[in-house]
Amino acid sequence: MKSNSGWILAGLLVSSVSFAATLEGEVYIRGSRDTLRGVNVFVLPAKQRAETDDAGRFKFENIVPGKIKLVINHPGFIRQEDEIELSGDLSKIVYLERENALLYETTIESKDTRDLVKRTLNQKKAAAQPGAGADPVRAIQNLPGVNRSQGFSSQVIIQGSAPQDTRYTIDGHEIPLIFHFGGLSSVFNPDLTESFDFLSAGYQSNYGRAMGGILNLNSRDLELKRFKASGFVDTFNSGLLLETPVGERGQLAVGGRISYIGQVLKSVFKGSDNFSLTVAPSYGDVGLLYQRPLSDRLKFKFTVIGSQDALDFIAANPLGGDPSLRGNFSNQIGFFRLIPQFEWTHSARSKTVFSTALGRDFINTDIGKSYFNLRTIAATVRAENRLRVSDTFLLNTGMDHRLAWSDVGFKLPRVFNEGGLPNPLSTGETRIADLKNVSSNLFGFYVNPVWKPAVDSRWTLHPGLRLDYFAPIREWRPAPRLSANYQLDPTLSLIAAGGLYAQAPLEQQYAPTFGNPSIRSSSAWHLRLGAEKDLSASLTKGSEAYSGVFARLFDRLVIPDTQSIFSNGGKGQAIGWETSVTYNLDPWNFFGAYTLSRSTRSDPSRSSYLYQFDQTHFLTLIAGVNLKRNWRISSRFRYVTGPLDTIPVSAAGDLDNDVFIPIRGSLFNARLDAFMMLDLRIDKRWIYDTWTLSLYLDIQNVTNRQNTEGLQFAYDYKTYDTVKGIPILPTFGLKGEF
Amino acid sequence: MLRLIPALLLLSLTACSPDTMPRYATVQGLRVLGLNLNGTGNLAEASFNGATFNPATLQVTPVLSDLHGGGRPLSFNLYYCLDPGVGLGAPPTCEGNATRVDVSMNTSFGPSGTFTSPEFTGIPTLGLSIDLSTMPPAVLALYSARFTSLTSIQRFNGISILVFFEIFPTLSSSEKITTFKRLFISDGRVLNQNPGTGLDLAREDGTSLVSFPTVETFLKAVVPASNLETYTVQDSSGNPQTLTESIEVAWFLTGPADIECSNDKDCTTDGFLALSRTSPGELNRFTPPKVPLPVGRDRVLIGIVKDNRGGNAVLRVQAL
Repeated sequence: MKSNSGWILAGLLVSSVSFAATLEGEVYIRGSRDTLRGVNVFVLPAKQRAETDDAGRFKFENIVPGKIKLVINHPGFIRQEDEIELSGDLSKIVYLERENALLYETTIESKDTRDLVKRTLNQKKAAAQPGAGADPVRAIQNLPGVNRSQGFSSQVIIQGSAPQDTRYTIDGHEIPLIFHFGGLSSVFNPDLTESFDFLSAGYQSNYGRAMGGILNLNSRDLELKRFKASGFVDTFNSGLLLETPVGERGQLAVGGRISYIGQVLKSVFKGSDNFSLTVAPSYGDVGLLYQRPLSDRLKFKFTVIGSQDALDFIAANPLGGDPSLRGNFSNQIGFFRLIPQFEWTHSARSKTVFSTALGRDFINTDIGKSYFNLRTIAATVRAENRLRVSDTFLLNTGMDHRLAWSDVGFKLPRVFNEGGLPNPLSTGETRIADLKNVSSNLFGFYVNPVWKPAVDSRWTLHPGLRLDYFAPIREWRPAPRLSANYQLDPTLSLIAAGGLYAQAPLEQQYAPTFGNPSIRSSSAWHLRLGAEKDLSASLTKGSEAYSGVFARLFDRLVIPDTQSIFSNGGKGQAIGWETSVTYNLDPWNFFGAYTLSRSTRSDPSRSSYLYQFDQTHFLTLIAGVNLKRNWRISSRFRYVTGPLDTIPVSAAGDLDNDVFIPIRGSLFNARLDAFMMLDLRIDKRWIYDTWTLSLYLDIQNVTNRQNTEGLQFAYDYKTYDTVKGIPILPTFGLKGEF
Repeated sequence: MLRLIPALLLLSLTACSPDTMPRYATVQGLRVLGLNLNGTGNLAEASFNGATFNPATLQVTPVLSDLHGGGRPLSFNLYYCLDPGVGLGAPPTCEGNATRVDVSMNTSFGPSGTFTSPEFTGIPTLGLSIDLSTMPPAVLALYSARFTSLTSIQRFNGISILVFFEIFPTLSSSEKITTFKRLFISDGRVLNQNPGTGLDLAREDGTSLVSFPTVETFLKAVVPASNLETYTVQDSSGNPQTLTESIEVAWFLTGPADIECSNDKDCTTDGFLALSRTSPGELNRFTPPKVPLPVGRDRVLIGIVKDNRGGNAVLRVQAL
């Protein structure tokens, strides 16, 4: 009996083995073809478990054929259950869908340990904000302390400073422009951008030469396992991005965009007697990223950016009644930069980061009978050594140079603009020059240590010093800076930051044939005091609040001067209180920012007056909700105190030029109506197994409110009308990715 | 600089006047349309050696309009001063300027010349002149001091005297229109002789425009090519550069009292000109009015031919 039962058991075993099946497969993120490692896969009712490997593969052996259930329950993904009638070996591909493929928080801000005032915005989340039109840089308008720029202006104005007080950089290297024509799109492909940094009052000494602040785009760090491609089409432009691993360790991404806004404008002006677009305005850009570790300690990254804008039109009638603004207008403007970057880790305590950007800028401009041609060879160099001297002391030292050699040819009238009211171009003294190899080299050296009195101290101090040399005007400017952080409790920190910020005059301000060679640099003292509270709880991830005050004291500002063309006679100040709250409670996100500020200027002929970009109140409210089936609806409301303009007291007719020249009394003596705008955005994503399709509709000024952007004067300045801002402006976009 | 250029272009693009604004080329209220400074055989220029001017006397001839003024009494002021730096942004005024010289102040005048009833648009016979030789010695010393303080290049290229002509209703000086014209003084330039003779307002086929067109017509100003003078300036290194004058035509057309209507081809009483400025030979489309002219006045079409050195010549057509 014993032997019989043994045979029976053996027979059962043999029969079961002979009928056992193998189930293997791969787990992918639905819509992306990216595999998932470390996913637990269960087979029921056998209660067997397998875990996916690096390639996303799993395998079950010896499964009894029949009806089984394959179950995957991975954090962040929708639970997947597949009933399978298993009759033999089977290979299966499983696509796991993210719980919310539109996981956008309203604004993400992260902090940098080396710069307490730096705010970093994630590219994807910023681009999805209402009013941004899918361009993350345009979302900067939502941050507290950023003044609203008017209409289609492409300027970023920070905390009551001037537009030229903001520096734009990519991976730390200065670029001449941040936006294409009309501010509709930034110059660097958003899909190649990881994030952007916003530095305002009190920023640290590793950056300089900007009294207002810095806007830095960070290129992406590639983590590619396979070839990827994406393409998009929207109202203004379209683009393509290709990404692929190169060899065993290299990774490459290349993308380009081209606009067709010109075709839209061309149809608008078709049939006009006075205005004809000969070449439609167009812009385009290319970007490339390549990265490869050269050794365990040496990383290499190569970033390329190229941008071009072009516009040609013929105005038969003088524009604005100014005879000099008539005829052919053309403008080609472009630049490129090649940016090799090296990061060398010497030891656990020491690292050197070196990068340089080489490139060219060019401008060809014809304005009626005037012209301006510029060819610049530009090179910027950044190097920083980070040495952890002890557990409480980190020493950062570095340099930040900008070198430029230009050939400039121009025939241009001098532009006189005071109080935001320009004199007619034809009345300006015309200058003609053809200059070769003009250098405008700026050198910067800095030390930027981080020190804690003790390892467990609540204090962190950043005493910094920057030394700039402005070679064209032969001037050294030391700039001490200090910031401090006090961690009151784990969720609440207090921040103080400030220092001196010097800025070289613009080329046209010190050029011998156009400006005043004896002009000096301008400077500003900054002070910021603030408190930051992390509101995060388990259900409110990413929620935080900030509140603080800032003050800026400007000195030696460059102002127009009727004797010496330009002088350093300007002074000014900007003070303000800014606060912001980010609150996320799934599926809702809220963001609110409010800035109360006052910005004034004075000069030897005028006592203190409100500055052009003074905006007393600036309120931004954003709310968004993630809906089922990957829908998202979000909205932005903005209220800003009305812009300032100057109404002249009289005007005199210049009979040589057939124009009137305004005679100004007090500057910026007219406060226009407040700006209010409501934007609406709808996002939808369709996720297929191996690719995704995203759609967005971004409607700016959904109520079609007629905001006043400025005043337009009659030829004799006796009457004026208001210039209205953008009407309702829908932007529609589609993007496919695989 | 890279950021300046797009800003200038955007400024240009946004500088289009709204239709609700009065147009420079449409003559409606009290206006000074032009001012001729005519010396003996030259225009708007005089040589100056730091002590004497040549020519010292310049005839001053304004082109005026008071279309809807109904013949009200008018007055004018004529004075001049050294340019305070208008090209660099200084306000165009002689106020507080020690070099100011008053020639004729609060002088009333009546209809005369082509400035007559009922259009009151044209050139009055004022017999005005500026005699620089009668400049008070203390003021002349200021001109001399300023001139001799200049570099030889600046003296050769010249500086300007601003000649102001102000006009206002005699009974309401608050409606004053202030205009000025530059008189260049230099110690080396060959003086401006142009725009010269042979100028004409013509139709597209070249025939002279002697009466107001009643159908859509393309107009042009005829300027003989030989009228374009060459002249010499010195560049920043003192090297001579020979330049050729450029000439443009400023067009003016009378219009109704209603400003908005003057910009509407369907309701203007005087017609509509497509362009306010043309180059010689460039065609300017004239659209005849659809609304009858008020009884009692004519339409006036004026073209002022201007060279880029201050020279003016006035071409005028009036409805019959």
